[in-house]
Amino acid sequence: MKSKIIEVNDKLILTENDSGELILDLKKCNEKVDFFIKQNLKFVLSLINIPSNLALNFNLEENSNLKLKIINDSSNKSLNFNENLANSCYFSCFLVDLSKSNTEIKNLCNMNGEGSSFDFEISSLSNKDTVKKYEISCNHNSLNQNSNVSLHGVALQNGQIIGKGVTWIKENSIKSNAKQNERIILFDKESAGKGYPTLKIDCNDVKASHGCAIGSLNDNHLFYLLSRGLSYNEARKLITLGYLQSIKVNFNIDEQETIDSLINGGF
Amino acid sequence: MSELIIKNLHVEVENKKILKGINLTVKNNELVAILGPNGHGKSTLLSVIMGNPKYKVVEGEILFDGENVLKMSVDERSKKGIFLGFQNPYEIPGLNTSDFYKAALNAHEEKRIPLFKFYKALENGCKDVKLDFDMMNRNLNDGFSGGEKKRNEILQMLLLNPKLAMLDEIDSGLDVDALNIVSDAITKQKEKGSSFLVVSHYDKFLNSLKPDKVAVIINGRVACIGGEEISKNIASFGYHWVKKTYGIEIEKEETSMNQVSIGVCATKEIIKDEK
Repeated sequence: MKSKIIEVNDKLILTENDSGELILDLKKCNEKVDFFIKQNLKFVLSLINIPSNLALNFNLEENSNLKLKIINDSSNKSLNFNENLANSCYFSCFLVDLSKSNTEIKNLCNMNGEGSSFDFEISSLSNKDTVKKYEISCNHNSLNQNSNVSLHGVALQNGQIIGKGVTWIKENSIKSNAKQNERIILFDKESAGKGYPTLKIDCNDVKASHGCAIGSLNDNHLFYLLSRGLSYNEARKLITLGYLQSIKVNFNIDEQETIDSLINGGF
Repeated sequence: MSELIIKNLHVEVENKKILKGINLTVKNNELVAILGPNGHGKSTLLSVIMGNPKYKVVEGEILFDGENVLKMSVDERSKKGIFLGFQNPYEIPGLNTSDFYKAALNAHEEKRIPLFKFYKALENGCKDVKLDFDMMNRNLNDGFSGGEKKRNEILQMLLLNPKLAMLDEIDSGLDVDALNIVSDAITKQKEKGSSFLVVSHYDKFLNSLKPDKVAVIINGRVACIGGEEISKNIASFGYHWVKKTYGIEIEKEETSMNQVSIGVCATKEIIKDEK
């Protein structure tokens, strides 16, 4: 079944009349767009034709579930995401950024309701002098909340990837669970990666972890593939594809093919 | 016809000499078993033949089918028919196992293998080593048990059909059934004409392979070479038998306490400063 395409202007209220998986065309949006997800509803939204300098605000009512999918393959982008989550909401965003231009993405999620969850995962390829900046932050404002922020990046040919973000577990947010994970592979000496995953914890009885790893390709992995007859370039490409493609499981088959061809074209 | 000749091979890593003059020949369709105490250069020898850039060859030569192996890149060596089955096969996150097999097999062919032929070969190979075909859809070695990883190495050997297969402790971590599967696969591959260099500490495994020659590497050199009686004597009397029979003193691994110290970063800094 093909997904329904909806053109969005500055506001979209999703109700039970809309079916589960939608493609939202944002080309007519200007400055900001507000989304409202009614309670107990579950949606998967693919965002296409996103103009630059846009603020996207998501308001999730109680017990709603929203999964966002974005494949960025076009011009320079500067996007601001804001989310407000009520009780028992689940918001997730899977962003594959394979554009051959600069990107700056900021996100602030306010998890206001008890038991809500936030998941933001990015796969990014930065090549040929492009700079990709991501600042993904979230606030745990109530009990039993989960957050996960993950960035997998590959920088080559003078590309730069910068991952920032603060996960703030505020007072009274006990039983919270927070994870931040940034991994960037640098293909050459000219490329750069920076990671600043930051945790602020203002209460006890929480689980939180953050980590950042930036480095070159694993020599052992490379040797293993070379020993099977793969050329250096092929081996390097396979390792990178694997590294960037782990996010693919969150996309449908057509989208996965798009991601594959974009990654292949990125080398 | 394939023949591996190693002449006076000296190898070092980070200025530490590991191999100190290895001389060894593996003739066409011969199975040579390599024994030796831990840390004396067995795995290093196999890695150097495969071309691991971690090791520096300071002297000597390696010839395969009359060609200088040391001048070849790692992938060239593989394409010439040299295969290394790893002691600890690497898990590569995100790399689909069947994609890996497809890339490896295509690298060895002039024309791309038709998809149907590839899947048929992979499916049959999985049956031979009793690996679940569904595992080919998982990431390479990711979440495989120790035995599954080793059988996956053997599956690669079967599909790549090398002239010389070097297997580094391929028997470690295998249960009895898996050991028989691996042993049968090696025997069948030998019947196809491949030569073997097999490193193992397990006497029963080596006996099942019926090696043509047994070489013992001690202190970075081939201490002795002969028939099955060598592995039997070592199984019965340990490496003390080599010392007694050949008068070779076995050097101990050089590991100072500082290097094996388990501590936090601060502890390690203090140790470094004290040095």
